[in-house]
Amino acid sequence: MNVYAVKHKDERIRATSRSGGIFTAISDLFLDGGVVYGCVLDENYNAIHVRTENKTGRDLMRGSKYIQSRLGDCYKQIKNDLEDGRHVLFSGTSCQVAGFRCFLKKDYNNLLCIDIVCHGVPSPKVWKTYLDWISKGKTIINVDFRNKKDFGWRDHVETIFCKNKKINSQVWTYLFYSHNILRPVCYECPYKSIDHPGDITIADYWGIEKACPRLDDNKGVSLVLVNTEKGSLYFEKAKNDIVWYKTRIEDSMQHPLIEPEKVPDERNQFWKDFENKDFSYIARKYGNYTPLWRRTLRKAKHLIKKVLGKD
Amino acid sequence: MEPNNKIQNTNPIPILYERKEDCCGCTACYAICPRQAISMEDDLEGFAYPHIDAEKCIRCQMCMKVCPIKEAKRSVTARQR
Repeated sequence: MNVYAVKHKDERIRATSRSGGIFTAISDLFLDGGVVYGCVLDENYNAIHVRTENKTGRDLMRGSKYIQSRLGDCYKQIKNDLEDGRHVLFSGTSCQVAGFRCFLKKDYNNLLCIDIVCHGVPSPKVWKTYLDWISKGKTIINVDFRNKKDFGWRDHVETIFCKNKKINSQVWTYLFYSHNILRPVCYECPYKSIDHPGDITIADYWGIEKACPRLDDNKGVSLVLVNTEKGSLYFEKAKNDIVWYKTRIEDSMQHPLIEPEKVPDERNQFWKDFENKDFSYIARKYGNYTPLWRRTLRKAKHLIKKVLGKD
Repeated sequence: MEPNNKIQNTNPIPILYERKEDCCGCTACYAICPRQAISMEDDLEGFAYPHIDAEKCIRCQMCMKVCPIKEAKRSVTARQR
């Protein structure tokens, strides 16, 4: 296995990528007659896996979605493409790639699999409830799980774009990292190690400040594990479009490469609350959310203290 | 090779998972079923799990063999031996 720190040469691509833009560089290799399968948000902001042959469709797959995606009939569809001799890129979580390999039973020369380093997959149901709550019934026109335009790569702020309004929030980030909303299997995930089922494994390069400080500008760097010979072949081809440095796995050991997250003690309570309380309660208790009136009150108190202090 | 209904029907209906921790929802079993007997259905937490229609199932056990989580656990057990 070879380990790399990667950023795309095109800063515009990097700015709109979740991390350093490695998915764009590799999937570009398939846009000339090949097929790309990956996760997009549908018109109702559900994460689903779809097939595309063009750049517009591929661009929707960029950036990880922090929800479990629905694969639908993708496995069968990809197999048909493979049998037809098309060059196929399949990207997904490790379990989606592992499941697909089990389904195929054999390797195809014309198939490349990319898996992402995943903390665990959050519930699509909680996601929908969150979106309804945060948008307050306004029409949502876009969702950015990590807004790098207005914030840093490490800030992890999500932005919900509504008509005439942009809502920045970290409630989903907090819910995600509380681990209460992950699928039960994720706490026992067999792919939480440096052995991955993808030919290439990609992630945010957490720890870049140590592994390769010269790339660290808080704009996003990709961690790339090249696991197979086939993966290496495609990585070589993608090198034209990227700046890359070989790094050490020892300096790159983010938690999901070591072990699965633990089941939180409060997980049962979370789901009880989710069933019985409104989402404001959930956001306050588990999503580190402070309602506007409380924030205003806090500011007012602060101001009064300041004024009285001056007097 | 077409699985034979009469012989295979004496087998039990597969139990795809006993605990929720044993299913990642990857759809491999759903996709491999030769009789489209498996559907993916949401549980209360909103995660999709495979459900077998006993009427359609011919007990060929292909769904049991295709599961990546079962495979991963088998290889862990094999390594421990």
